[in-house]
Amino acid sequence: MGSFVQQTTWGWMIAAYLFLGGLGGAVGAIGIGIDLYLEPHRRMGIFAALSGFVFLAVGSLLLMLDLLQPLKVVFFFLNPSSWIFWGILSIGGFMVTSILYVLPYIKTWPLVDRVAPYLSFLDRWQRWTGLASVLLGAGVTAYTGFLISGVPAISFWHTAGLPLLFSFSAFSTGCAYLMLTRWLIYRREGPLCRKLKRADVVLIIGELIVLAAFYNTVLCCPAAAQYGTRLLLQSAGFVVGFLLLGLLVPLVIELVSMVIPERVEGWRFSTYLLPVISVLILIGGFLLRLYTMQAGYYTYPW
Amino acid sequence: MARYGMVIDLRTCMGCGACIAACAEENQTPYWAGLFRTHVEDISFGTFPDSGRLLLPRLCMHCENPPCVHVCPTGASYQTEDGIVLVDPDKCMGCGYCIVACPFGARYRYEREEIKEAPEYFGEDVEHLVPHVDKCTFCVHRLSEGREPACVETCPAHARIFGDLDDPESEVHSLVSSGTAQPIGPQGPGQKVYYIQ
Repeated sequence: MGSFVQQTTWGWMIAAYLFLGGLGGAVGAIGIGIDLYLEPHRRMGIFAALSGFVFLAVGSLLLMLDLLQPLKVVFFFLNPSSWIFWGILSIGGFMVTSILYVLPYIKTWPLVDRVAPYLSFLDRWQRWTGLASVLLGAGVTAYTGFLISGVPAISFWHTAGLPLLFSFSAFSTGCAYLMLTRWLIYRREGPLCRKLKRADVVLIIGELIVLAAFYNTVLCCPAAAQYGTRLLLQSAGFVVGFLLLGLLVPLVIELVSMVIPERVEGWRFSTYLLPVISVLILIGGFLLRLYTMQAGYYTYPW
Repeated sequence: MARYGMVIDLRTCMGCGACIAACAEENQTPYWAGLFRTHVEDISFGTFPDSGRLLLPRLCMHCENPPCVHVCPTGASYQTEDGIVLVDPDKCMGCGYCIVACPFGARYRYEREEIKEAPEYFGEDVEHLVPHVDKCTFCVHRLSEGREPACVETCPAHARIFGDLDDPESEVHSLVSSGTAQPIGPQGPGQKVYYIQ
């Protein structure tokens, strides 16, 4: 006896929450990290911090819309044994520290200039608020994986590999977002974009290794996990949308673009393909979370 | 302190559904939306001639180590000293994490629409006033009056037996300690609902 029953409590809104959470945390961590530790890049720092803030705000809004009683979020902090507790702490912490990090940069902006005299103390603390943002952003990406891997009842989710997979994927989508937006502004691949592309190659390779390890582990997992895996591998959306178009195609294009000359007979490689692979990686990141939600099966004893 | 548990005798359950109806009426579950705190699964297994049918009543297992309590971010899901797992509707925001975490599918969302419709079915005595996650409470309000859960009291086949698992005088204690009644499903959470097969 025993039956496999798909979880239907969490649907596309929670998948979008996980995607936006990972993306927002990663964009913030990468962009602020570049400004603080790679090369001083004020614009990148501002853009990444504000983008991360917006993504996390929209993601949190989706979570709120999925709640039966959104006003009771005030009780969110009552149980530290719940991953949501740590998630909300990381998300809230990132949103606060990222704004504190950005404020010294945007003192001359309209409205902000009115309160600028009161914010001068933040200048001294900017390295620390930036560091906190990087750590909390990275924490948010890991949280999105821990949230669902902390459910022993769904064996497909309850694996050590899932938080790793979601983290690699989140940082890859973070790189893709920053590459895409830089391309939209400058219409070319600059030195920073090339660095992001190289980082993305490493992240996608890491994601593929974790995926393989994940698959390897699931083979030894309870039958419901194997059942969910089989369904995923039979799904065109997962195989074509995520594995092929969201991972392998961008990886191959990024690798090829790193070894061939940037300009071939007047045709700039990055001009046409950089935005395409960035969009593919972003769509792939969302599909990974959506299909992970759908692959959540219980083994009921009846 | 008591440690409440239930034994379900699958040999005598005839699937009449009286337990489901009694629970729905007693606890005002939104039965018109197909949502109940207890179900009777009608399971056919095997292929003829080696086939059979099993009627399996199920409800919250009131686990010793309940995953639903562990994951609840607001502390709305909690365990009483008697081991009964409950939900405080005033704290529950309905995130659904407990529903996802439950290995037995014992919880559901009492949605806003059902809250609105409830007075049509239960009149002025309607008890569920705010949306929340709902589940079996072992009829804790009846226990405090010295009564058994509604499903136990109603069952015409005496298929549901309720009592203190730690009380050597209780029927559930003797059935469980003798090994006559066994838990089903994953053993990790430590279920307090046992079955006689």
